[in-house]
Amino acid sequence: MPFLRVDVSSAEPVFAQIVLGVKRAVATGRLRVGDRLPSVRELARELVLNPNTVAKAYQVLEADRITTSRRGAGTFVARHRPVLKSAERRRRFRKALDEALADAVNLGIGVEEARKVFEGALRRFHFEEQT
Amino acid sequence: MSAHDPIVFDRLTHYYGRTRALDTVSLRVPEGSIFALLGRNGAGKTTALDCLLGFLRPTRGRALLLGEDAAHLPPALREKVGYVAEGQRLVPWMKVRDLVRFQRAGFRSFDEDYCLRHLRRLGLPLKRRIFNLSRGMRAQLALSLALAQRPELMVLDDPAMGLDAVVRREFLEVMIDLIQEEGRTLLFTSHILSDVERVCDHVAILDRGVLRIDAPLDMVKARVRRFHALFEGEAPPAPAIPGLVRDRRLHNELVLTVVDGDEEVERACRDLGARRVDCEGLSLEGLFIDYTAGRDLEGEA
Amino acid sequence: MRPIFWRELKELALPAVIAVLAAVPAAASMSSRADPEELIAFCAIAGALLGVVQGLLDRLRRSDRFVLHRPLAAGRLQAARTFAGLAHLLLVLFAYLAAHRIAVAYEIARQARFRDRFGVVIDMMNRSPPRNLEASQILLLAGFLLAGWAVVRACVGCARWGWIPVLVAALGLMLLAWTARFSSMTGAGLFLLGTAALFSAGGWLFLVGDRR
Repeated sequence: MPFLRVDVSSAEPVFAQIVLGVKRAVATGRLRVGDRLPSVRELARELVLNPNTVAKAYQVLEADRITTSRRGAGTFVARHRPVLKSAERRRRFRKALDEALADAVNLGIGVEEARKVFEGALRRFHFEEQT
Repeated sequence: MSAHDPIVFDRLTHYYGRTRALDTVSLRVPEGSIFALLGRNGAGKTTALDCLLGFLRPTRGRALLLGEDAAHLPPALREKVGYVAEGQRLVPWMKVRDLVRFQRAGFRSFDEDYCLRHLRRLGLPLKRRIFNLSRGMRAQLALSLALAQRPELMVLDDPAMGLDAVVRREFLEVMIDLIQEEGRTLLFTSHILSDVERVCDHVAILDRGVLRIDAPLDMVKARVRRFHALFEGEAPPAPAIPGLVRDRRLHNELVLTVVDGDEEVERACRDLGARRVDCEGLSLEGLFIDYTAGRDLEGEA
Repeated sequence: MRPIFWRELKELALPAVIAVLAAVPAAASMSSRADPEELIAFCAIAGALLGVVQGLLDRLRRSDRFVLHRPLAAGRLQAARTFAGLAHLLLVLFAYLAAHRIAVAYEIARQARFRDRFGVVIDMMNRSPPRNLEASQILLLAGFLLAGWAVVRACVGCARWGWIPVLVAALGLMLLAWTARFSSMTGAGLFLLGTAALFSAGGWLFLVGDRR
């Protein structure tokens, strides 16, 4: 997965970086539902990492229902099934947005500019159809 | 922590004459872990490994290898331990092929076919004498020989020493394949912290014979942070905070490395009049330097 | 243990070869004139020298972690090295004796020719006629060679006490040389006993020691 970059010197645990990287890839459409992730061994070789770290990342991804694994076939990006109640989902999104907007204000960005940036970002990400 | 930890140091202490090389070092290497033993030159790493492998009898305390006291190792136990010594001198006058045969004669579990296949794949010339091999080739050879034993436990003393970046990467890739094997434990020492960071899950740091850290790497990174406190004028001396690892004064900045101390540090610095306190996470290199730099470097306590 | 033995044999070869090359001219020059004490001292010292070299190599080996880490008891490892060294020692002895015999034969022939030509034997230095060594003498000399070697090697090889053992060994050898004045038959007998004990112990380790 060439888009996945990991910084081993960062204080952030490597497995968390992988999880985040995969989540972001799914969110931006780089990885689509049904795409096969490389095996633990393959990814460990590619990123030159301890396979246990990669395995841990894969475990977290599966626990978060981002991926699903099929015996013998591998690990695949799962169809998103909402786990949390919609109120909780909104609460988390609002929190992340609050942080980003606080940064924007501190940087001195105006409302109009913020809106433009926001709309540009919406286009970059791959939102699922709301059912 | 189990009774089956393959490696245990139990209050290991060793003196070379008057010089203390190891000071009551106690640690356990969990089964199946990739354990990095780090330290500056002369910190005691090789002494610890010598005690572990029965080459040296410690002054006090003991080391346990696969459950047995290292000072009285039953020779047959060495079959299960693959060892790559520092410098990888091997037997200089032998040819590669002869050395493989020699190892096969010495170790019952030695898989000669596997070894030769591996060496051919690496492109190592079998007919060449070992003193004619490059450093990188000798390192690869030493590792292949140890692997061919099919050991439960591998102990590598600075295997990448003196290797250039390309060879080191190849070496690392071999190690990663190695880690795939179930249940195998790996203990190694190294100075190349970026490589260590990639593969190890546990880390221990020796500083002048004293064990400073012994924990999973992720945990250390999560709990140890560096704080930068900015002051109006000259920075004051560091406050007494439990968990302080290192402090430095740079003009109007006080840099503190602290374990588990996020809120306390913030509070203590503001009490001292800090204008601003920033916090950063540390890479293994940063951690290593802060834990082993020693007080003599800055001249300040 | 056998592969270790062959390996050690090769490793210790260089000093042995040098010793052989030194033994041959030594034998030639000593063929006609050495008196017993000189010869004994020479053998003891020659053995000691080889013992020093092998002992120092032993010390080096002690820190060779690659060799030490194998499923073989340290004692067996050392025994293999000792026997390799002993094999070399005996080779040197054999070379010396062969050279000696040839030198004596040559000297006898040369003097015979001289006598035939001039009808008289002129010996300016009043040397005794060249003679082959008797069996008991050979055994005695071999005994001293071996003793010199064994004691010095053991002391030098044991890294624990520095150079003190070497001095002790030297003194011991001088004592041995002095006691040899009194009887060469006893010496020969002792040597035989010692060698028999050494070889039987070594042979047992050699054969029984291997796991395969």
